[in-house]
Amino acid sequence: MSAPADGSALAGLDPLLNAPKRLAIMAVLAGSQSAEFGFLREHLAVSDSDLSKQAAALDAAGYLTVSKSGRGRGGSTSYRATAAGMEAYRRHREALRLLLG
Amino acid sequence: MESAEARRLFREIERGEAASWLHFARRRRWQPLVFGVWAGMFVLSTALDGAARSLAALALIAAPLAYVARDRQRREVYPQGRMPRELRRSTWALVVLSPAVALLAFVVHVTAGTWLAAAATAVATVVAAEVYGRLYSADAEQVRRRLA
Repeated sequence: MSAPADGSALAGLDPLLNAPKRLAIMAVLAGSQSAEFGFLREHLAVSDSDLSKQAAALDAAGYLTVSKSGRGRGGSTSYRATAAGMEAYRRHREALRLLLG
Repeated sequence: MESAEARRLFREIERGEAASWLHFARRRRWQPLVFGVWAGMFVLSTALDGAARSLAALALIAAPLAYVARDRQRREVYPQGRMPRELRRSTWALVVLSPAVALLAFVVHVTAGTWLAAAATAVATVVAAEVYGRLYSADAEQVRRRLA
C-alpha cells in the first residue's frame, strides 16, 4: 500500500538532494561500490568544476567520502557513499516514489 | 513538487542506479577464450599428482582472484546492490550455464579421459562465456532503451 503524496512524503525529501546533479551522484554511488570522477562527469554530462562543486557539497554533509590516488594526469579521484548518505538517499528516493503514487 | 518534476527526478535516479551495471556490459573479445583456456587447464591439472597438483590448483585458483582484483582496479565503477530487472535473464543464464559446463566436464572426464574432458570443457566454457556476454549486452541495451 502506498502512502498519499502529502506532507508525510515531503518530509522525506532532503534539501541537499533536491538538486538534480547531487541526486544523480548519489544514485550512481548507490548502485556502485565506488565511482571515479571521470565516470561521474561523463554520466552527469557536467564540467570538472561543476562536479567538484556538487561533490564537495555532499562531502561537507557527510554523504560521501573522497579518495585520491596518485598525482597529476595519472592520478584518480573516486567517491563512495557513506552510511549517512545512503540513508538520506533512500529516504529521498522513497519520498519521490510516494509523490509519484 | 509537481509530479512531472518528481517523475523526471525518479528517472534520473533509475539511470544513476543502473549506470554501473551498464558500464559492466563492456566486454573484451579475448575474455571467453581466456576463460576457456583456464577451465581446460583446470581439468588437465586433475591428472597431476602430489605437489605438482597442489601447486597447479593454487595457481589456477589464484589466477581468477587476481583477475577480479585487477578488474576492480581498472574499472571506473563497480556495480553493487540491486541490478536492473532486465539483467536477470543473463544472470539466470550464468546460473544455469556454469553447472552445465561443470557437469559436462565431469561426464567426459569419466567416460573419455582427462585430455578429451579438458578440450570439451575449454570449448564449452568459451561458448558459455560468449553466450553470457552477448545476453548481458543485449539486456543492458534494453535497460538503456527503457531509461533513455
